[in-house]
Amino acid sequence: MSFKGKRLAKEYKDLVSNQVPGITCEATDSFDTLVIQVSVLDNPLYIDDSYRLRFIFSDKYPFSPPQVQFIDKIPIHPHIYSNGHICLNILGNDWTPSQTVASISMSVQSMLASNNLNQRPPDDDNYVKHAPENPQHSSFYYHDDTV
Amino acid sequence: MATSDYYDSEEELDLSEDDLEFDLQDLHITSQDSEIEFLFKSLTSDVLWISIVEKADHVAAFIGMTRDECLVLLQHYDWREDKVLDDFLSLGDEIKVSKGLALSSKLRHSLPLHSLSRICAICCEQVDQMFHLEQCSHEYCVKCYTRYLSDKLRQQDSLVLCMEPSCSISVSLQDLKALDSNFPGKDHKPLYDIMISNIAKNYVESNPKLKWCPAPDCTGIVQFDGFSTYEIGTLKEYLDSHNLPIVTCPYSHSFCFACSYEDHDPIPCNIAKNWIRKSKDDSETANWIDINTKQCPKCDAVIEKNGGCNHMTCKKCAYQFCWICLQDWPLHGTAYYNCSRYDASAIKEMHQKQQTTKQSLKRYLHYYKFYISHELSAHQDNDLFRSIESRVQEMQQDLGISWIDCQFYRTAMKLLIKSRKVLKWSYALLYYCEVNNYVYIVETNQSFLSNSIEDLSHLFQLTDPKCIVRERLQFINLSNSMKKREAALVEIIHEGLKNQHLKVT
Ligand SMILES: [Zn+2]
Ligand SMILES: [Zn+2]
Ligand SMILES: [Zn+2]
Ligand SMILES: [Zn+2]
Ligand SMILES: [Zn+2]
Ligand SMILES: [Zn+2]
Repeated sequence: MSFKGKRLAKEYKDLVSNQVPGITCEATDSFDTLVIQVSVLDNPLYIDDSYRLRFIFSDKYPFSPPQVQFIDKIPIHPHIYSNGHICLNILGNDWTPSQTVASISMSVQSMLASNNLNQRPPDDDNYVKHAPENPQHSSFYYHDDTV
Repeated sequence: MATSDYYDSEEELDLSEDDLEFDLQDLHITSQDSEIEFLFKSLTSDVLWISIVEKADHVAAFIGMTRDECLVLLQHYDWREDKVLDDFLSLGDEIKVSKGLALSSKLRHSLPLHSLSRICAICCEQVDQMFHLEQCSHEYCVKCYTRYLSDKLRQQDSLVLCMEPSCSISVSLQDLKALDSNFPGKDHKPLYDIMISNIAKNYVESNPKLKWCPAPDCTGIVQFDGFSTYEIGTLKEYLDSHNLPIVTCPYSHSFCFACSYEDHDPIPCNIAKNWIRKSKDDSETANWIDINTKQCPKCDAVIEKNGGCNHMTCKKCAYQFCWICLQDWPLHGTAYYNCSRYDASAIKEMHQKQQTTKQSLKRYLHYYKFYISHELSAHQDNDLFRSIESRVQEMQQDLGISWIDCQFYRTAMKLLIKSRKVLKWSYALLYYCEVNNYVYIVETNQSFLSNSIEDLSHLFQLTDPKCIVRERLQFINLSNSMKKREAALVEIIHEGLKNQHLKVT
């Protein structure tokens, strides 16, 4: 089995066996994409919904980050664009191969949990109009992490 | 030097167009009134590294840390020793924790024990050799750690952290040495070496007195050392008084210290920059010229240019023509090859219609055509220059000529390359200048210089060492007259810019 396959097989197994509250892995038959359902229990902005986070893995995974974005319903958040792209440093410059699907999902979950602004990024219209399909081709200027 | 006798013997000079030479006196051009020198040192990256290490050792002696640690600290403080010392005085050893040199005691106790399972969390393989940084114990296999670091280092990072996302420990040169020792083969480019060059890059970029040589793959550095007079204090003042800081790296590439582009004397940085941007952007120009081949105007055979000379002879039909204008060469040859400018009536006509965009494109293409053909010729000259040593060796071995007596050949080639550069940039300048009589004077001088360059590069098409040696006088004479014409053109342009005879639009 390939490098990537072996690693994702292990991650998948861990995701299914070590349940993290609010993070559920949808069943899959290929290791090129994975969908994680993320819900946030203690923030009124997102309390009624579960969001789908799609991961696409290149052959260089885990040495290059997966392509990660929301699909279907996009949560309102000042770092999440209305096309589902997420401005999160660990998905770009600060990626290290020891990040996992679980650790990314938890980062995104806590990003939602700590937010109290019901708004999109200020450049949303412009970004969505010109955004490449793959968010990794955007060079994000990472928004202030404290928001 | 044996050859110096020839420099002054006027009879030998082939200055058939002497009578046409522009009279400097008439224009009140003061020659080189007070040339202010831009002082600099050229450093190799090895020499630079020595001074970086000295700086680190200096700090190390004060605060009692290792050289490696100080290299990391200095980067965090933009190489300001005083700032490092200030923070060390107020923070003490805490500075190590805040800059990724050590873990806080709390974290140190919560570190994982060395795992017995020996399964790497990255590749999920069972491995024999695990690796962790000296200052923490986050273990991954040697292969994965190496791959992670070589990715990071290739992105030119010089401050790289432990692979564990929650860990803030910086990778040290010592850590890299330890990793490299696992790959003794030649295929492995040592991470240690890449890190050193990344740290050096960080150092140069934080210091406005240092610049990398912009030549491709060159690792030379130039250090600015002030001016020859105190009247000028800053680089800006120097540029504002119509000077150019042209410097040379240890590997003899010359470039402009202000804009880090190749030597663009005699024209100012902003014009060179605009010109380069324009010639890169314009898709028209890209389509307009197809680089190294042209068709013979007579028989349509494809002809490749193999040297810097513009005098082309078609191998198929023997038609002789000019590379730039594709016209019959004999038309150029006898009088003077009027190929560096439109003739006067054409210029006049051109200027009347100058307002329209079509004309402005035409005007641009006109100058671009000259610019690019000299640029291409320069590449070919450079190729020739590279093969020169072998030819010189042939001359020495086969004909028993001393090294010093072969100097004329090298010197002439160097002068040719330099003159071509000056001529090339002067075309870019004229594109931006309002048309007036002074421009006409510049064009006349361009034309003179262009002819000299053409003559000399024609001579360089000789390949037989015997012929080269026989033409030695001709090489010397032609390069001397070319040098004079180059100096005249440069001076006219400098004066024109200074006194605003040349009005840049
Ligand atoms: Zn591994
Ligand atoms: Zn660590
Ligand atoms: Zn260089
Ligand atoms: Zn410049
Ligand atoms: Zn022909
Ligand atoms: Zn011509």
